[in-house]
Amino acid sequence: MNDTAERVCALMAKELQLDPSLLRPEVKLQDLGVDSLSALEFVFALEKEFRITFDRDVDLRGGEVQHVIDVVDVERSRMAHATAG
Amino acid sequence: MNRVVVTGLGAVTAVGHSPEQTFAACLAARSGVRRAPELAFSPGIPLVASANFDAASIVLMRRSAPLDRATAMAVASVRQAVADAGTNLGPGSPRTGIYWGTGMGGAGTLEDAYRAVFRDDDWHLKPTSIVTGMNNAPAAVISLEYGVTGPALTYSIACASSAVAIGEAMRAIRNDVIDCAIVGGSEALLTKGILCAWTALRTLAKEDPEDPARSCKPFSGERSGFVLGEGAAALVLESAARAEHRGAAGYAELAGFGLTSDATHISDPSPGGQARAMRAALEDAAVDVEDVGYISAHGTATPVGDRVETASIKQAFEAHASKIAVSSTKAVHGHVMGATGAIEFMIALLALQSGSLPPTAHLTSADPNLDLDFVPVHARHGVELTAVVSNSFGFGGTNAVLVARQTTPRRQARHG
Repeated sequence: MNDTAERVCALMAKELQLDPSLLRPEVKLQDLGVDSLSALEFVFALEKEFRITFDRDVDLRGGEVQHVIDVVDVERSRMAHATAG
Repeated sequence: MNRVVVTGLGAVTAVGHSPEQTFAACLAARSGVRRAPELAFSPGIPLVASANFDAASIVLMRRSAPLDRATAMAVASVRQAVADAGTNLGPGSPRTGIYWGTGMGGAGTLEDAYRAVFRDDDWHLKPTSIVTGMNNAPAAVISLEYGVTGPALTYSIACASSAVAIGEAMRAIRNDVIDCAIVGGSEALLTKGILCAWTALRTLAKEDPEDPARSCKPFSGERSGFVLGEGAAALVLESAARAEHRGAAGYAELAGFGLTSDATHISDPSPGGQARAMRAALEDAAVDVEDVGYISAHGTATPVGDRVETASIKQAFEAHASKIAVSSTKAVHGHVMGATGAIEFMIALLALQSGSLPPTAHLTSADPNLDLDFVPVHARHGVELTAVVSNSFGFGGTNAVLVARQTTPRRQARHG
């Protein structure tokens, strides 16, 4: 079972100091008051948590919570394939 | 030209979390110096004057980057000073400025980053490392916290940093650029790398074999250098008109500022440059040498530093020098580098206000070549003071001298 959504939301609540009940899939991070620096800190936290590396141009702030979960999933699978390969 | 008064004080030091506690420790010659086994490196266990301060306890009203220890201490001291002044600074105070001093800014943040990169080969540094560690982070965070929209300036001039910041803010108020300023300095450089670098310079005190807390001995025949400290001090400066308008009684008038450069040596002090700064400050304040009853000396306890400062005081004050009480409080709170000028000026203000002079701690063995009244060991009380001087001299040859004068009505003395 994929645990990405649960872990991303837990990390989002902790790192961005957000109420977990606000983290609905369709909500955009910028609408939750996440500024550019906080978004960078969150990228850093996600990279450490999942041992992944995002492209430097990744924009999580402009996307929805579901978008964050999706891009983390993509990176996790890419890393898994790279490791297996 | 606007007169400038000091209406608020705040401090975090090795000997207290308030101006009152810090001043009380200075009066009692109660040292905050200790051995620091947690910072030991191969030459041995260093001495430090560390503040018992939890940086994580500082939570900002506005979200910012994580705070370096120097910034957290700055915020803590500013909160005290602003509350003490009882003035409304914001939001959006274009006529208020921030003038802050720090020698090494976010030293701890940078050292953490270097450790991760060079020791642990971990190149994933926090994205906030730069904005947390930059030298102007304290001034920037204070500006954000209080919504101050006038100038937010940072002065990094070694041990003279915060004295210069205070003097420059005084000039800005005098010249009507602003009419209120949050000023001071903060320093948090008790890291292994920086302690190691200072050890190499051979200016740090040798450990007293009987009591490490007594290791720093300014103006003593047994002096061997200073102990690095950490902390912050903040002051609120206002034009006298602004303070009067809101009915605020000031601690004192910040009456004069003298600033010179030696242009002789990168680290060796010069009596000529220091004396010129003292004279310039007195002239700026229109204070006669006879009106000065107390000098808060730079007094680093290095063999050369104390000798040169003694000579410079004699040069500046001539025959009156022997009648002035001169003391260094660094034996108590340590040498707090970029913050030391603000801490010591605050102590000089409290001496002026209370009539109690802090002694030079641990001065039990005189140096026959240093023959001023250094107020050895014991505080003096009930001294009538008209004006006081605070000296701050920095590597690079910068000499900054502040003069404060009694105001009327006098603010009630604070008790530690």
